[in-house]
Amino acid sequence: MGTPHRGHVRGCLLLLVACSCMPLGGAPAPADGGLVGSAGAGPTVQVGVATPVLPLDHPPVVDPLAGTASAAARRLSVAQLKNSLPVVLRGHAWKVGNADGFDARAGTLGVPDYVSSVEENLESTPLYLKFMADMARDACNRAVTADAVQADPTQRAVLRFVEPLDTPTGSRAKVEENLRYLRLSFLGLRSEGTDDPALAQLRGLFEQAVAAAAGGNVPGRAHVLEGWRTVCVALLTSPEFHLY
Amino acid sequence: MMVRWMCLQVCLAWVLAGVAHAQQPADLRCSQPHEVDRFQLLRRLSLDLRGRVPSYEEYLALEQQPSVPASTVEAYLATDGFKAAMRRYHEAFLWPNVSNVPLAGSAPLTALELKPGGSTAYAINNNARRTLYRGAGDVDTAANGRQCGDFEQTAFDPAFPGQYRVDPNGATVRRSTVNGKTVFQEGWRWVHPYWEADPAVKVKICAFDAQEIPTATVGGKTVSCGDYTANNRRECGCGPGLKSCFGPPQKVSQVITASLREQVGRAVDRVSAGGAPYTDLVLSTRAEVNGPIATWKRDLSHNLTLGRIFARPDAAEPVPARPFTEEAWEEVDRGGLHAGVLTLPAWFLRFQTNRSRANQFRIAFECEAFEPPSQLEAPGSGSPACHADGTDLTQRCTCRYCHRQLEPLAASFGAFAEAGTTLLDAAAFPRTLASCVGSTAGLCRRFYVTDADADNPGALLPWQYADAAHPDIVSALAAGPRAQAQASIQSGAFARCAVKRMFRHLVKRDMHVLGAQAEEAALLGELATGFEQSGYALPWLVKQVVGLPQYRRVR
Repeated sequence: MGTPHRGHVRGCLLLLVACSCMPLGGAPAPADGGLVGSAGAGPTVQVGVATPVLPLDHPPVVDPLAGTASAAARRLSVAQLKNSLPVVLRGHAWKVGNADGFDARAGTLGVPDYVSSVEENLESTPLYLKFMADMARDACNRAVTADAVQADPTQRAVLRFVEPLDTPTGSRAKVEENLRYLRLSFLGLRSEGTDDPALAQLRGLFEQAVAAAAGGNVPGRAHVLEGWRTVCVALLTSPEFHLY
Repeated sequence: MMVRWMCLQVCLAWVLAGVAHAQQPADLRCSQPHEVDRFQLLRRLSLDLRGRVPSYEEYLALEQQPSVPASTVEAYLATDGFKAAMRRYHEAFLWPNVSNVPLAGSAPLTALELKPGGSTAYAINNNARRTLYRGAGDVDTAANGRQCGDFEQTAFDPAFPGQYRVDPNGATVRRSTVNGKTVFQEGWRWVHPYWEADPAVKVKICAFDAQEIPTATVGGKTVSCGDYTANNRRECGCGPGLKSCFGPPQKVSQVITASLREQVGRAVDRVSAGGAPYTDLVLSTRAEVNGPIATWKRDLSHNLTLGRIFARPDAAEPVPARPFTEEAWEEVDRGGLHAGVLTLPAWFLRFQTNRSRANQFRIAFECEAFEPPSQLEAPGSGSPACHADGTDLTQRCTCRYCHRQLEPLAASFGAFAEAGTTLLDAAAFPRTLASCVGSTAGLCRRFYVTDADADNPGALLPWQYADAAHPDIVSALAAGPRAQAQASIQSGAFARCAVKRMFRHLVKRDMHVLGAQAEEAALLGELATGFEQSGYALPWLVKQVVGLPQYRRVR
């Protein structure tokens, strides 16, 4: 990832911290639940016991207890992630040295040992995000490297409907077919047609990654593989993969 | 709190999405509740019931289906993934990891380098035993090396064939004078230890420690050399194959504690995938035992220290004759007052006091937790008037708010040793022992009321308040945890709690059954009744919950 992405992550991490502090900090809530801020001097934020604070540009939040009979979303547990990765990557896993990454980082990722901790921390902490980025880069690298030398496409994890020489411009249909496969396999999301905006975003990512890797030259095999590795990392770090 | 959580999820979305999702508006992630499509439903079912996402081929198989077929749920419930998922689900409230509990009464055998570059031999790592054997706690001589000395002992008392008795005054025991004190070094001998599966594997062990004398006379009684009361007998060692001594922790204690956790898992398997009613989890007298657990109970548990755990087998507890290295499991009927996981060693060692056992039972199987009162009671207030102090917590001001209920519950576990696993039968542990009043003996201080000024001095501790003033404690002691569990089942609390827990696990939020938002109270009643009528079939309950509209909608 380049600098813009790092800046994006840093900005979001700051927002993450701000979000986590919000109910406690921010502006002091007046007892009457009235308005805070100097009138006419910039945006005002309505706070109070019954009106929790939202970011200024945050869309309205549905009261989850207001009679809507639905499930809540939850982050995958570490055990679920560990079991799922070989399914989407056809046997490939996250490794830290010779150990499975989820085992090696279990304590840090909040897996309870039922001695000093008895409840799995399913918060999406900055530490969790960092290790999931590690996981995605390592596992995708293994999968794409193996795919590159696997002649049988049905045995590949990422390049299932494309060949390493299929470029974004030369083999657009095959690229889109592969992206549809990846969205369904990784996220359980089915893409309808070629005008699915989510599919278009992934295609854009693939094209940009290939072009960036090629550095202005005609894309070759290594650049295409870098493009697929980027798509794989994006999918494994997407919220749709981590929440259900 | 919920707003904060949702904001975190939005942030998670932004951070995780990276380049691929940077343009996606946040309102897509804060959408209104809606039905999930069949692919997302399959993913949800697979993650909840099998612990992993579906494969691409499984998604493809849905293409021609209007929804996820009921047969898919049935198939998921029959997988090993479901068993594993149910184990994890139950571990979250059974907390079966006891790897931090020191099982070894006296110190375990420890490998020791006898001389720089010389032999490494095992010896009991206990200062008192070393002093008993060799005259000093830490022997190190230039001629022979450390502790027993680096030479092989081959001469044993011929009057006791096969016992490898070492005569400290024999010619092959080397004597030295260190700091004016005579010390003995007896050398080592080869022994095949019980923790090694390969009979060809032998280790060096200091010869005093390796003696195989079966019994010793202690206080005029003949006792096993494997019993803690014989620990001060010089002729006693670890016995044949070192069976009475804990070996290296990674090869013995850690194997046993891992087996105790697995034992709980196997009890869960019986109710999750084995067809047994869920009530067996708290009622069954049967348990599975493997070689490490059997060896621990049979041979190692007698080698105890009264200040640590007390895990001798019950008087009537069947202990299979399996060697330590036997990994296969065998079902035994423990009988008596045993009650499923509530009397498994992992439960007793994880929750070491009777109060904590009772409290965790309430939390785990009745979904109830004690909360302190909002106001303190003044001494003498209330009816009956409360006491400002005293050890009877059912009478003490403020404390009694919880303890009037907790003490009888705790008493239902009273027949089992606290910080231990043993059913304290009346023959070995009389309910009153007058000789313990004022005594400083380890057994008395561990198990009896020794203070002459206390209530009911000389009583076995759980029986201290088993009197006319506390009839509920008397009955709870006699009935045991099984009766407590049975009462919970009969009242319906057990079924309602099982439903609430499973709903929370699968729907990922609490049921709305309290206060103004109790729109799911009727559902709780229906599911609890149905669960009971199904014969407490856990798979039935799981199927019901994943079939609810709530499960198939998300916000």
